[in-house]
Amino acid sequence: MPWMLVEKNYEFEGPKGKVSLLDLFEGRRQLIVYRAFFEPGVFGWPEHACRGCSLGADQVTHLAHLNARDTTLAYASRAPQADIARLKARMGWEMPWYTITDSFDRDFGVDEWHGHNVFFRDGEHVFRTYFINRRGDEAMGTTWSYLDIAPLGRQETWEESPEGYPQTPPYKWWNWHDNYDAEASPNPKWVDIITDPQAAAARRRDEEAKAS
Amino acid sequence: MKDVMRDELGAPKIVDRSIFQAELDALRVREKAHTREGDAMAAARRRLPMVEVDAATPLIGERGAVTLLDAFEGRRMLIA
Repeated sequence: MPWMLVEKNYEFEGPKGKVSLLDLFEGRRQLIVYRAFFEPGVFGWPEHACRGCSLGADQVTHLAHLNARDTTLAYASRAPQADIARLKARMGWEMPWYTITDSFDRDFGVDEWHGHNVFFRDGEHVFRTYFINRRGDEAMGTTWSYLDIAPLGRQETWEESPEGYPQTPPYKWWNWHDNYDAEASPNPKWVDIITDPQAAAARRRDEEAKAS
Repeated sequence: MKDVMRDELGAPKIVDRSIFQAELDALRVREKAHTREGDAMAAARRRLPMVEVDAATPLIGERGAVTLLDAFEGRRMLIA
């Protein structure tokens, strides 16, 4: 897919005030924005967001895995931040969730129906790289479903990507969601297990036999 | 425009909104075919034969010994 330069300066409301589309990246290179319907007039308001969008929110993976692949997931709705904060607390959702303030929804095909837009950031420039809605949208939620619609993909060595794309071996970058920050490079013992599981298991058995 | 990332990545070309949409529409045709094939495979899955297993297979749960049948919690389907 070619990319489309985003030239308009979109503005959102976040928990700490006004932010730009660029800010939504939180410094990462890839951004996926899901437009969820939560605003006056939507069934369930103000206690709940749209049922379909809520079901989708329930199946969102732990964001740490996406973040580890330079990817930020954000939700965006028309509801004010106070309502969004209340909704997140009630439903136990933890993704960043912004208030749309301008033509972002209309410009990106999510003014009448939910959908995921994917963006890539190159310095200060933002590109739209993909869009999915309707059938296809409901399957989103796993780590892999998000990375597979992102321009850089899973960033694993088996993928057929354009020359120069960042790639590391599968399994090796995977970590516990609470351990990515503590362990910037793959743990050698984990790498050993993943590189040759049978040999690693044999070594473990040997060590255990010696210890007993 | 700063092109560092695109040079570094050999990233796809930058196009205007109409070309982007046309490319997306073309990809969507393949995606729809993929979705329909997935639906057809799911339909075939629903017609797969079944193997009877021992419903009394013992398991240990939070409150002690249970059977595989108990793990259904009264529902008809169980994914374990």
